[in-house]
Amino acid sequence: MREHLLTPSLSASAAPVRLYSIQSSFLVAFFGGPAASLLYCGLNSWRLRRLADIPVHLAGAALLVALAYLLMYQPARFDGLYQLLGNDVFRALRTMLALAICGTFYALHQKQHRSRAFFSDKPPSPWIAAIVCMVAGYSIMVGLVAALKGMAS
Amino acid sequence: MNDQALLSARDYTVQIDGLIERGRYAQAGSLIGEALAHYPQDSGLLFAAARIDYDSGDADGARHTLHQILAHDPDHYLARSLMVNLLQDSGDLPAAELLLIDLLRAYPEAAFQYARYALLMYRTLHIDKAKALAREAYRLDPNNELALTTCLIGDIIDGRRGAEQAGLARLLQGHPESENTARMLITHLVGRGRYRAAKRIAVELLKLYPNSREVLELVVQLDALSHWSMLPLWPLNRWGWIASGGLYLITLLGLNLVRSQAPLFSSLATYTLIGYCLYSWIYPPLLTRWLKRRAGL
Amino acid sequence: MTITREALEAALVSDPFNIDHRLAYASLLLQAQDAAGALTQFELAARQRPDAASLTGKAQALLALDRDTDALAAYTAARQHRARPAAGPALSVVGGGAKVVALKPQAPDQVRFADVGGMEDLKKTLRLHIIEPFLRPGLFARFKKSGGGGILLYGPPGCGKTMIARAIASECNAAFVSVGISEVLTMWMGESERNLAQLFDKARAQKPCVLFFDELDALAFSRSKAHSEHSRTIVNEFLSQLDGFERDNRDVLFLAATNMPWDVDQAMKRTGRFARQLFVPPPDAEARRHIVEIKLRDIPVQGIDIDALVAATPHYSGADIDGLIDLAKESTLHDILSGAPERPIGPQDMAVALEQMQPSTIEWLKTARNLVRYAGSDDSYRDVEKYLKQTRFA
Repeated sequence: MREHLLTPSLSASAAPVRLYSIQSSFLVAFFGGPAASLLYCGLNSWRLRRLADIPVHLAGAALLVALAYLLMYQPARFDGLYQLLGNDVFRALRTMLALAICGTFYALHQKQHRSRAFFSDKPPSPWIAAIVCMVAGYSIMVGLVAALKGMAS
Repeated sequence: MNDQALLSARDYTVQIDGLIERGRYAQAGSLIGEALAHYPQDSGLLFAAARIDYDSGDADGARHTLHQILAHDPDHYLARSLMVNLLQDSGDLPAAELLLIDLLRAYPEAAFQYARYALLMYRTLHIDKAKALAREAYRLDPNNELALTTCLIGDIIDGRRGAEQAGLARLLQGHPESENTARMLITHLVGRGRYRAAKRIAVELLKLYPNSREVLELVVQLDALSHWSMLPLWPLNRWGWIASGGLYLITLLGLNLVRSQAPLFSSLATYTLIGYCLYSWIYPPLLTRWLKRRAGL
Repeated sequence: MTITREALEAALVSDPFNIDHRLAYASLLLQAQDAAGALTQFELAARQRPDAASLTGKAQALLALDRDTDALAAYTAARQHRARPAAGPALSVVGGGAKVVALKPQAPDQVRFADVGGMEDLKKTLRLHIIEPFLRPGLFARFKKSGGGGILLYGPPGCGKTMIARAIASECNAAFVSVGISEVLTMWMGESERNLAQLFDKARAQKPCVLFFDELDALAFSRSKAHSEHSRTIVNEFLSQLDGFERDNRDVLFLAATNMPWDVDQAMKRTGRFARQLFVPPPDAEARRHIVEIKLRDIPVQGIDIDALVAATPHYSGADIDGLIDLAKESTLHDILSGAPERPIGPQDMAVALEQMQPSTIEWLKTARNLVRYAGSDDSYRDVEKYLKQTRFA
């Protein structure tokens, strides 16, 4: 009955999983935007080998494309928000989508983050991953906008 | 030498264990040197020496002594158990896991070892397996402190408040004066945003272990969290990044409202919010650093 | 108490690992001009525990044998060991077995309050609350003022708690029965009930008597921290003996001392047990002057400003001052052996010693400061708080 509990789960060749902290995820989302947030949260999904996160990533990407398309070609849908937020609409929507993505993945990985909090193991340094994701995210947005413009013309 | 005055190895072990329990490592070290001069191969004394080394921070010395014991007696339970600690401390978690599994195969009713294995699995984010191991530890010995603790950790991770309360109550009932219980109570209170209450518990812990740097750091952290000047940051401390996201939204809507309805106060509102953001970033680490320095950390 | 050479030789036969006896024996040999014999003993001690004391002694023996180069090397090695004050009594092989060894009362006439320099406030408190009620119970009863009971002296290591306990016994003209770490270790091996009961019986039989428990935290370790059932059992037995004694405790005064009051079981500090706790601080300026004057007596010194030295050694314990003067001596001797003309200890040697020396009480005071700061609301460490404020301990 207990045999499955006494099967080793750790491997000498693979280091134990360490997740990027929620603090770094938040900052990448806030300053990097939704594409950077998707990439950065994807790193944690990859470390955890969670295949169930793939549909969430795809949904996030679809929302991002939809948002970009709507903002470029159907801005009238956001008239109410324009009245509320003025010219900050684009930035606000971008940030809120990014934070929503970050929040969603935190909810999916919440147990792992809570478990990590019980031990004093430090999370991996986020700097390189964060910068790469933010640069890549910016590039993706530029490419997406160019692609949408190209499709429209 | 007068043989009648010579203690038995067991008597030495009792004395040394007593000194270790009281944290008198220097005296224990002196006595172990004397004891090993008479009984150099006694595994009980060698284990006591390893414990002294481990508790005093000499991991290499402890490891060397444990290898010595296991070379003569590979099944020595206590030596293997302490070796698990050493392997975990050095980051060799796969080897620690293998050794724990060996111990559990040799002692299948050892609830304490199941609980330790559960902690290792929590640490390496194998949550489901950790919870199963914790349940097994609890099944084998419902009064075991570590078994209760690992079950409680599972409840906290799952966010099951009712079960968390019940688990905490069991721990308080069975082990009210344990340091471990105090720490779990502090975790519970901090999770609820009750920093002052958590600090009171930590202070009681400090009264028991005033020499513990870890406990002092905990008190300082909670002192910072419950400091009067941190009151405006209570929502951010309590709800973390959700509160930060909410603050962003409020900022956005609020600033635009002020700009449209009361443009005279627009600058003031902007600067207030910027000031609050800067204060939330800069002030907590400064306060913590100042409190740590004041505490001699 | 002077121990004869024969007694030391006998002690070493039964316990060859006792460093203190070996060093004392070596010193006696050196005084008796047997430098070769002394050198052998110091070398044995250094092999067992290479510290400043054994290496300095070896250097002195080598000097007496005109082996200056070797002596210089030994002094250099001694200086590399930072002088640490004695943290506690050295452990020796304790006679165990089924036989319970009864404690003998020790002559309390060695130390009196007059021998304890400074600390006038503490001595006044002790006289009013402990000594006079013990000597004149009728007077205090007329004023319906209770005295006596159990007193716990606590404070940093090396500040004279044991010496004060002996002085109290002398002032009370009482026998002095002391229970130290060696006796506690014996109790841990078993027979703890019998040993404790015998101990208290002995105290009753020696009335008036001062029963002194040194390092009380070892015997009465906090049950909430103890892992072993045995430790808890000993504390329970101790408590019941104290409670039983309360019924007939006239002419027996209980004293205890500890460096770690937080490790003493809380029940020990309640009424009827060691209900009064007195903080024994590091020696004040007057006490330090007294200690310095005693330590510098009969050795060649010149130009040392004792007032300045006292001012430069706040929070130093008696053992720290001992260590400081030892370092100064080593500095002088090192210079002499390096070829400088023979000279007395001077201010420059003291300066060198002060640079190297760190008072051993600092860590204890830091711990106490944090306790006072965070947990001082229940007045447990009120005396400590007052001391920290008076001395402006940062």
